[in-house]
Amino acid sequence: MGTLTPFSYRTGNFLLFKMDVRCKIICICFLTIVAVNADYLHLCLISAVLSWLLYRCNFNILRFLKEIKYFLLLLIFVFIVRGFTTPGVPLYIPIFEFMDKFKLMGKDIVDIITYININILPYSHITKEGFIDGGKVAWRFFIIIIMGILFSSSTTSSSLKDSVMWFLKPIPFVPEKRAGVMVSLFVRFLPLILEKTLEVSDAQKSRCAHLQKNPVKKIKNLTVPLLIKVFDSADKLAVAMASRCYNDNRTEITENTFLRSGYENQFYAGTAALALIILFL
Amino acid sequence: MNISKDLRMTVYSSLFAALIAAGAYLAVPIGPVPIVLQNMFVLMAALLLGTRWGSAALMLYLLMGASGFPVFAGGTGGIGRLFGPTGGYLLGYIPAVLVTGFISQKLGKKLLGDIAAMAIGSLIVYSAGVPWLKFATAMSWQKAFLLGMYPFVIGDLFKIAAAAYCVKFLRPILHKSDI
Repeated sequence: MGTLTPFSYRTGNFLLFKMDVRCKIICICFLTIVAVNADYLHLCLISAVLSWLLYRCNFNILRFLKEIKYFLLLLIFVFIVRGFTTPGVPLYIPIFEFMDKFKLMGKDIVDIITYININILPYSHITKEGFIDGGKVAWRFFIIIIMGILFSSSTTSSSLKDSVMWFLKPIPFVPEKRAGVMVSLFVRFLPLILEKTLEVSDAQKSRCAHLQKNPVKKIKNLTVPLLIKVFDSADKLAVAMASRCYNDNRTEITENTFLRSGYENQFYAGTAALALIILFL
Repeated sequence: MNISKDLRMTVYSSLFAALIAAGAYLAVPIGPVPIVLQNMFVLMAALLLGTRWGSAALMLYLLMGASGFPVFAGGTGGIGRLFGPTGGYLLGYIPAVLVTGFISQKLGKKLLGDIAAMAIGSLIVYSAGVPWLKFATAMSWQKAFLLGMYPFVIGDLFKIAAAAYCVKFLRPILHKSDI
């Protein structure tokens, strides 16, 4: 996972790294839900808080933007689409201002463009309302992404596993211990799959498989050997677990211990204050 | 060694959850747009593990992503992604797995049945994802289909064809392990 993404866990001394992971999850869920209703002023406020957190976490913002470039493209597209399709007052860029002086067949060019925009090509211009609305929607989604990234880069997988078990414990008919084991297995398998993929990909390249034009064969050439390899690893793991008499009612060696920074209550209060501002101001 | 079916399926479910997560990063370069294998693994989980364990794998994947683990497309995580413009596709995976697994089982796990089940599963993912995209971004239906479905349909057909072959090949291997 370390080489997979810049969003994976990194060590740090800042408060966010030392906080109780359950507190972080609750606050992020809460803020995500209220951020969907945030207006520009609220978005500025949340962005200021998140920028401070990113700065204190020593986050490489350029690398982060590069990693989420496809998501950014989607946000830009959403912004443009909303700009063009929201009804309202056409928003002209300053380049059209000099056209005030020009006339065509005795009529002002700006008037002709306005007529075309409104009557002939209704979606040929960005409206002021669309510009404002599109910007707001794109900004909200961007903030939601930043919150998730701050969480994942400041949380270890083991504490995440403990928190998943803690949250699932009160839910009836959900075996939280098995879910915890599955989380551990998931974390173990993910780098293994990526490693095996690299092996298979290199092996296929050495056999000139990359020159293959048939897309179905291309997919098949990668997935069949990969799945055979990872299923083999999974079988070995299942045998190892069975040979150690694994079952759901095993004795816990250590109780779940959650790091506590001592600032959790302040963090809850800050989140609640931010949510109240967003919802009522 | 005699391994309980539950234990083996627990391991396989975790494996498929990890495969689905890794699928967001595994791209096969075909033409200008590389084909990402994530939804192929979702459908394969339904066919190889069945509805119960396939959906367990999906729930684990979504749980890990919602908890903040960077497993969603683009290396991001957090519950916010489920509320974001592409959240419908992620949540649509759950009914897709249930329906795909069910249809495949009812049609006797035959090749054509698997292909039909995966095609219906893919349609379910789009029927959840495209309206969600439309309402989350307030774009028109035409634009939502243009952005959220049409560019991926050809790739999906390739993936269904490849997945059908892979499942046919892998089922005997898994059956050998007493699934």
